[in-house]
Amino acid sequence: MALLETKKLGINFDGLVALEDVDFAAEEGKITAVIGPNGAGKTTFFNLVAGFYTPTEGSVHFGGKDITRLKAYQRAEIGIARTFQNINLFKDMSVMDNALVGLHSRAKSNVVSSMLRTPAQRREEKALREEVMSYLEFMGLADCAQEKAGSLSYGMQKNLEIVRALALRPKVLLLDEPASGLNTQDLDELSGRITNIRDRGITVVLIEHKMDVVMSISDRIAVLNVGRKIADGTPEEVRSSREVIEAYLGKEDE
Amino acid sequence: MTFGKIYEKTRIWILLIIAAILPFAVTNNYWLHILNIGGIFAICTLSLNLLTGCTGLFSVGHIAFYGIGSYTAAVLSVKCGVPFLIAVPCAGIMALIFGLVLGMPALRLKGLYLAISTLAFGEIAYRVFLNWESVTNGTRGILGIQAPVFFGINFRSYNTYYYIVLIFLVMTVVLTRNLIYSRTGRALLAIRESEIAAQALGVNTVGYKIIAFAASSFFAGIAGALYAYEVHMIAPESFVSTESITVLAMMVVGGIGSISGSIAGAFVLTMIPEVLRSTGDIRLVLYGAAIVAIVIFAPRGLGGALEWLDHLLMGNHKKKVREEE
Repeated sequence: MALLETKKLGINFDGLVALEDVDFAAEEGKITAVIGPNGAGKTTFFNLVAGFYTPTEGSVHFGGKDITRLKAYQRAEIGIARTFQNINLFKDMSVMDNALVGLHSRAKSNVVSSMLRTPAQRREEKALREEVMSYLEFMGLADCAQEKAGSLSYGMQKNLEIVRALALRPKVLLLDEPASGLNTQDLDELSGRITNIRDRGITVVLIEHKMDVVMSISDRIAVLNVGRKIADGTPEEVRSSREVIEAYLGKEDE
Repeated sequence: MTFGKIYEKTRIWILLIIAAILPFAVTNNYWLHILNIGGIFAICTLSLNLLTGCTGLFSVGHIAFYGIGSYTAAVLSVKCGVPFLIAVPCAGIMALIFGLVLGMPALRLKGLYLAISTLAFGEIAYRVFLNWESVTNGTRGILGIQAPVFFGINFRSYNTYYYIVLIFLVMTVVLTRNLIYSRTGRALLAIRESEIAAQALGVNTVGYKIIAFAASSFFAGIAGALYAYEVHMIAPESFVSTESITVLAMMVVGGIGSISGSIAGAFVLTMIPEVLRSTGDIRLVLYGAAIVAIVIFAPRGLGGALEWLDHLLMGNHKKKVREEE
């Protein structure tokens, strides 16, 4: 069953069409990759799904409900988490605090209980910290929990992006180029972690340029080119699609 | 136990004891008054720090909330005979309401545009204090604000009122500190750092900006009320725009986002002009030079310098330096 779906989704910026007529479905518990050449509209697609842009046509559905009108933070609350292509951490906050923000919507304490540090607030705070540590351990960041996020290495910052999103305990995790800039060893680790996340029951949607990663871990692949979806299917089907090859390599007779 | 350990465990109590016996050491009424004003401004600076330092929302009209608190307390006290312990929270709540009034439309604005709208709000508030004669008495101001009396003790003298200011300052520090290190505080910091990422993680950024405005203006209102009871008469001149800039300077000199810094900044900038009073006309030039010097030599503000000293005394100075690299 499709957990996340878009129907005829499109957006234009002052008449410039960035995305058009995209029917997309991410099946529950699967890894679905979105690939395409630069400028194909992949990140625009993510921004529409996560609620950062309002589509000019079509709709976004989550768990069978139309969520097109929901704001970004509301989509996060119902279980859509994302990471950012150009790392978007809270640089001056500690690694721990970055991850704790991810737990924001599941925590209950408010301004007054926080100021007064009520027993319930303290209990909750303790539980949140314990939960966050488990995510930090999973992504190999437990040792630098107290360091500032901005002081981490590039690869660790990418991992922290994922920790933060996982802390939402999302149903769908949107990963925007998690592998970019990583070395080969980190790549293997990343692939392992992404499949591990899927095996925990989280549906993963992945934008990625590194084809070996995409082909090895994806259950389904959707291909975008110049704002349109030109193919989708299993990795094998996509690999042999003529349209896809043309999009990446150009037409033979041109 | 090493010196560092003992220091770490006792520092807060030592500080409180010093604060508690200070009026016995400073017997000059003039300096006690300066101390009280410093404490009141410390509360105001802490409140601005919550809005600008933590949440990243620039306000250059903060004295308006302070003034609203001040006038609310004065009117309640003089015209309605409301006692101190009721008038002060009412002043905070009145300032909070105006914080919401300003905050809601202002949230659509960012950076400089927000700053300008807060500046305009400060100017409007000043004009209202000046011209709403029936309530504020205009330029004549409100006279005869009676000092609070508890347990038969009149807190009119500076050395007794000092303790009231101290109690409110300590409460403000505890409450804002708790707030910053909580779910709410993390949401505010997240908004400052990256609004987009905060939204992606489920933070209702509009809602939390309103909360920041409300909490900040509440504490500023409390500070204003304490000021009214300190000076016993208030007039619009105390709430002009340059005072907003002064509070902003206190926060920056103290170190943006730092609690200890906000307090240090408020006390230091309240005292420098008084210390320099003997130098005559050149006073304001020296005052400006002192601010520039602090900003240059302590880039993380007085709060950063205090933190450095704190770590030095605790004996893990080296560790701290390494982290910063």
